[in-house]
Amino acid sequence: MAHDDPDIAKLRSQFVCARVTGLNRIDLNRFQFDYDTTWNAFFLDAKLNIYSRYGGRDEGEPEDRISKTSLMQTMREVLAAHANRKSKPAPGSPPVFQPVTGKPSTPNDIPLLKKSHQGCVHCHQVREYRFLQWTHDGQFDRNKLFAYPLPEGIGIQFDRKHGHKISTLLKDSAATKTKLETGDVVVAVDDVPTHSEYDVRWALGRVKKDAKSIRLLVQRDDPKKVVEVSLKPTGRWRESELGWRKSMRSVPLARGFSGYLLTKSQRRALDLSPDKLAIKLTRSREKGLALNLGLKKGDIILSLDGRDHERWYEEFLSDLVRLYQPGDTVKLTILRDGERKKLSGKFPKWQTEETSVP
Amino acid sequence: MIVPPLWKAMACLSSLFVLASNFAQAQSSYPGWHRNLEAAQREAAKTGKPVFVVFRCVR
Repeated sequence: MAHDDPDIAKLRSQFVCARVTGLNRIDLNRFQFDYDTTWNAFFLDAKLNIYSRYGGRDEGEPEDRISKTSLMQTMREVLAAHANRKSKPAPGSPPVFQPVTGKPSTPNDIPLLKKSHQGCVHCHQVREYRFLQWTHDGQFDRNKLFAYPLPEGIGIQFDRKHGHKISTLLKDSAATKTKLETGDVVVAVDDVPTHSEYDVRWALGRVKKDAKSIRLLVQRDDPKKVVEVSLKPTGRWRESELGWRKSMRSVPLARGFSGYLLTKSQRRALDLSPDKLAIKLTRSREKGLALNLGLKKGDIILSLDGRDHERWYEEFLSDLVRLYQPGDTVKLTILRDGERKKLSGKFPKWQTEETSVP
Repeated sequence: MIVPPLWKAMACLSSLFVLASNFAQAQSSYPGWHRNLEAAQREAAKTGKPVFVVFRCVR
């Protein structure tokens, strides 16, 4: 779309364009994006100060959270910001550039990647090697899994055609307890100017773990008028589905088993509901969660802590890491030799024996 | 008629082949897009335009 669409091409002619297909020499500290996604865009000045980033996805289709019109909206806003970058900003208005803190850092600064990897560094490999490195260094924690929170986590849905204009405030959410209104355009989150939903997600990911509130600046009616809103996030607001992520395979969950979702016909043949959970274990080793639960090869997992809706194997693993933390008790219902059994055992501490990523 | 030595002819042909394939590659991939950030930065500094960088991870 960014290459071929004639409407985008008109806007694109006002930019200098670059297409990068490997991360080997890229400053990851500056170019922070969701490394599980295969397409990401940045808008910068000649010194690589960042105006905006564009992209991002969720468990749906890869393009569900992006659109031609929202990309064009972001491009127009960036062109305006670039034209006005030397003007004195109005009091209370958001900064021009997004913050970049810390020293430049390339993939080779991840010791395990440097040691084990040769050739082109793919985006997902950066995230996976980071998981491994953090785990080996004893620095992994589950918050690292949820680096790009969805705006729905704080109760906001954006207009897909615009990108960062609020279309819905979700019922009983943190957002409905504020002065936010539908139609508001979110122009900053804390110290981050926002021109896209991806900007908002990156900014939400920077919110400190113990933060009591998030400051939003929104434009309402008059584009020059900015309203400040304080939002108090609640519950597990950062968390979202992980099953679609390639990096899921490198999450340091010592599961000790692998398996697959039985097909609908296989489920029927076993007199199981074709629409419910039925993960058959193809391998189970005497270690990790499999050991703690007493799982055996051939067991069929029918529910996780009472949840029995249909899940692919990767989604089931996502549920495990979303529901539990090391030390929590995991409860499963399984089918073994035609008999239903209830199993429980401790969720293991984060650990991995892996030192490289395929 | 002067006939060039075989190795000279081969070298010329190889150079032409490399040039042609580079040209074809540049045309068929993404015309107007730099392949590295440094080149884009240089052009942006010269033209005053902002930079649009796409990270396209081809697995």
